[in-house]
Amino acid sequence: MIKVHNQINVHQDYISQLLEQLTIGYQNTKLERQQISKKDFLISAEDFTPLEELELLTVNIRGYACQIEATGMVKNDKQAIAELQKLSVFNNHLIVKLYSEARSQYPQIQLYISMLDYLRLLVLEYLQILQSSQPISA
Amino acid sequence: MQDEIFDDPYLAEILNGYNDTEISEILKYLNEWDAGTYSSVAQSVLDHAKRKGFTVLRYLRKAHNFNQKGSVRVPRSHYRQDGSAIYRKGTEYLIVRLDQYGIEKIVTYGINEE
Repeated sequence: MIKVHNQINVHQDYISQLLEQLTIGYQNTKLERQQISKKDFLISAEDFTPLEELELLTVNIRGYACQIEATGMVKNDKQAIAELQKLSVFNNHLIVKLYSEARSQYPQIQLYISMLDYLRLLVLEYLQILQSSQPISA
Repeated sequence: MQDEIFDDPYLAEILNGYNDTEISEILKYLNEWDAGTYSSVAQSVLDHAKRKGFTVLRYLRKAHNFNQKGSVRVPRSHYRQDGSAIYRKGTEYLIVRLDQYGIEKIVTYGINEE
């Protein structure tokens, strides 16, 4: 039990650190975002742009991470786990496209996307540890 | 709203240091927002403003003053499968989502050139 408790604390602390690093990481992408926003990704008129997809993903993942940072838990953890599993950056073809281009042209964006997905995995793992440590109710 | 201020530490943090007129303005703007995956609207706005390098009031004002008239909406007339839609105008954008009452609320605001 002590081991699980320590694991939870370490994860919570790490999530908090990663949130801070991602804030700086986001600010470091400013120049690249300006360049990307002028680029034509040949998307349909009914699609979000890759940067808009990334913004929405950022907001969704950070929201759960901020809840954990503040209270150590999230509202409706089962729903959060299911949603976080779907929020992988690699489930979104526009972010995958952006990530592939970022490898050669936009290193800060590439780093940002990797860190964001790492935060998602960390939050997911945290919630799963928390869930498995809770006593099963009759 | 008074109870909410005491219950939500983020709301208290947001309002700290502002005068009564500014507080009324902030509270009015917060009603336009959706908490999304955050614990509260205040936590969401605080996190966005920090990440984007704005003070909370400036960020809320910019989102509130975003003029949807003449903007491009995507998707044009409905919402995506995740419930979101975006308004774009110039370098600014506003991502919205319907709340539980079917009212369109702001999820995030940004400037591509920021």
